Amino acid sequence: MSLRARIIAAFQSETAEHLQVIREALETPESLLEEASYLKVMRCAHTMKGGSRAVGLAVVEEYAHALESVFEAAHKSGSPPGEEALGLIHRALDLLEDATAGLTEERSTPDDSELIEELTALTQSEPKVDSSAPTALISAPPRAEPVKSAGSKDLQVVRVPRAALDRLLSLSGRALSESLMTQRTTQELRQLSQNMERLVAESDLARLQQGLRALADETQAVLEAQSQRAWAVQLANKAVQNTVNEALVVQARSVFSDLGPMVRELGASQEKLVEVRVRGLGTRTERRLLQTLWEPVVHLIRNAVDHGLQRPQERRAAGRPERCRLEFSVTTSRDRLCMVVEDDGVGFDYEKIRQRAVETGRLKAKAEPTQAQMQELVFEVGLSTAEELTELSGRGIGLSVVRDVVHSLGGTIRIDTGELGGTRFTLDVPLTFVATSLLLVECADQVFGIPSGNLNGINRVKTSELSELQGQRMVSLADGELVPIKSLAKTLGMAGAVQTVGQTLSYAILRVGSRRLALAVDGFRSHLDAVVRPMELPGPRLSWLLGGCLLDDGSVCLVTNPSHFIAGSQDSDLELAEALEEFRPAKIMVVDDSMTTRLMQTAILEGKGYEVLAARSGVEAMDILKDQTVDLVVSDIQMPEMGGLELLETIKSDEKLCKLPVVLLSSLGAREDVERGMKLGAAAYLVKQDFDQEELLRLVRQLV
Amino acid sequence: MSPRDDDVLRMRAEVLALPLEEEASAGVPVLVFRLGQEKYGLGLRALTEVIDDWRLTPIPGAIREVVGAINVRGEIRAVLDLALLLDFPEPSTLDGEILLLRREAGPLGLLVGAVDGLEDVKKEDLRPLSSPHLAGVTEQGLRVLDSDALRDHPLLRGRIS
Repeated sequence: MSLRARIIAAFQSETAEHLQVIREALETPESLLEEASYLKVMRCAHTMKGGSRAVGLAVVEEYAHALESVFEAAHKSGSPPGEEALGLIHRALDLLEDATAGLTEERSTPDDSELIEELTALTQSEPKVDSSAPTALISAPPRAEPVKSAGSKDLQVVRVPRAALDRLLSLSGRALSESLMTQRTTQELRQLSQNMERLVAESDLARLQQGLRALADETQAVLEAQSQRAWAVQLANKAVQNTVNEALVVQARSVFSDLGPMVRELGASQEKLVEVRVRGLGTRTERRLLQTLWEPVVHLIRNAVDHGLQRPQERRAAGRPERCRLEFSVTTSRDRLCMVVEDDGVGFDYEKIRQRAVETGRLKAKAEPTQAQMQELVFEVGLSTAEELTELSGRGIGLSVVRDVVHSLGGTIRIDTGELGGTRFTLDVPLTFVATSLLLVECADQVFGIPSGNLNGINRVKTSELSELQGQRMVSLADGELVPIKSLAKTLGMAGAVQTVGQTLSYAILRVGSRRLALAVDGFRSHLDAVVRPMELPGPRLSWLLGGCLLDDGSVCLVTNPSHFIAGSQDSDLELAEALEEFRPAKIMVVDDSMTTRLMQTAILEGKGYEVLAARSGVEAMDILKDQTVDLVVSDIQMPEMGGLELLETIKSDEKLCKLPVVLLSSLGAREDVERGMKLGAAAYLVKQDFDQEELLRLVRQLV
Repeated sequence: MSPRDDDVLRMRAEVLALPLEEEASAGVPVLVFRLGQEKYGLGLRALTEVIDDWRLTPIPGAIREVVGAINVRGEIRAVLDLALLLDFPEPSTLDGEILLLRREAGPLGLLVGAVDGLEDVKKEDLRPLSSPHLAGVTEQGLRVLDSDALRDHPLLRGRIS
């Protein structure tokens, strides 16, 4: 890329941002009177002015300068620009956008010196504009070539920044070399196996014992090495995954940037005055969805310009402003992408569509279709009501293709009149790889995910504190509200009672709209950020099933749809069963100098029914261990008085305590700490910074 | 073109790339497995893979034929009990293997008993049977399934929920 090309590219993207900032500010013209907003707008205009010199675009400089003056005048006069002035400003912004786009598209630079004069006139006296003047100013000059082929964005090809690819390459190299390290484990295991074989032949008892001892040590060493290698592989793969995700997420601008110029050009070629508002191009979302929706959106926009929007004289005759409005916006919510194409044109002629439907046999002559059925007909093949077929649209097949593309993405498309009083298309599609935050709960020996977006909290309650209201078991929440409590298992149609631990029941509080509900589960697992995907499931649709995701161990976890539980029926008999009659809670000692950590770990472990003792240091821990028996110690490494490593050493050298498993938590994962801990006989170590309670619980289950 | 279309095209290309069937002389490779007490076979071309190590997640509320969902290299696939699809009175036990059936709508798992291996079956060796699911039975008693009829089973036709 030449230096000039680079400068132009930078200028274009910068200008696009400035234009957006100014347009957004003008949504509320009064904001020009506020100092902060005014300065921001001025800075944008000013920067564009400066940048235009570098790319030799004198016309931009002129417009930007004129805009600066207009903003300044408005700010000083203390009254925001009126409708007419705003119209001029928007046209100037449009021209700036077109001129900038023209830098790389071999177009003639738009010029409209009269507009500059008008803008300048605004600054000289009161913002008073001769209402007859603007009609003389047809905005963009007509261009030779109408619009470039819309299909040029090839969906099979994805553009990824070079830097992302480079990073990906280096990361995948790392992942590969880390995974090759596990070959060593294979070798070591082979060695172990051979040693074991040799030992089998040993008849001397003493030597057998000696050999077994050595074997045990070797095994331990392999275990430690392998756990570190596995960790490294996991880290490397996570980094790869993150980079891939980043590369696949882009600003909507990267796909939809030339929409504004395109529409104006289209309008100009049909002698229509179009004021375009494009919003949300800064939205970051999935490149694949943006690219897939580009064609449908362009189609809708062309339809709007061709059939919805009218020429100035028609608009005048109908008593409407000559300039038509067309708006496009991109927004995302947590897991949906929404695009809206809206115009203030003539709207659909539903009566004509009805007639055509009757003519083509899609509708019975006397039928009175509902609103929804009419919408469906609009999308049907061959139902173009355009009086004339233009070169650009009106072929009739378009809308059904638009609908099919949206459906293929699992989305919906709606038509209504919208706020501008013309036609509004709303395209709403689910994001495919946005991770949803889930609470994982245990229920009837299975793990289920509950989307955290609908989660109002988790809690535990003594079974004796449950109440009953008209046959429905109720639980009193922290804020005093009494809500129904249902068994998750039973709601999903599974047999079996809800497990209680120490006559205490775990429940998740769901909220859908204004309604809340407690869902009784066997226990809580952890939080997980995972991509929830729809899955093909033969048979009738299950209203409780949102989709599936994958757990860390590679198994499938089903994700529930909270609205199902709220809508569901009563659950009058909440069947409860105490887990394991002979249950003796294991005693775990938590050693940490941070009170927060102690409390958190205590809560996690007690929630699982363990009995927990807490100590602030190694010294305090040893004190407790003198007269209390525990099954496991979980200790921090860095603590005042006696640190974790010293504590471990003391425990291991104590004849009575040496069998007691100790789990070390190190804050930084410092290798030397970990190695020393392992040498001293720690049962396991966990890194605090990516502390995962599931990992802790898994270890605890394993060790006690 | 969606990735799924890609899959379809790739699969078609693969099938087209396979050597042409010698007119009823060479035979067709058939995967042989147990179903109930019988030996069954399914043309290899109808399958994408055989999975012997799987972790099944049951789906509460699903129809009886659906035994659960598995993870196949990051994709979630429903698994159906082939015995029940073929109207056996008894469901399969959960200790068999899972065949991934090749379909336009993406693979779907079929739970079967133990897999014995591959066998070449010649068309002329098949004795027709009245069952709608079967292409025929060999002299040795191997019941060969009609893969097209299988894919046309109402539960296997494909729909994203």
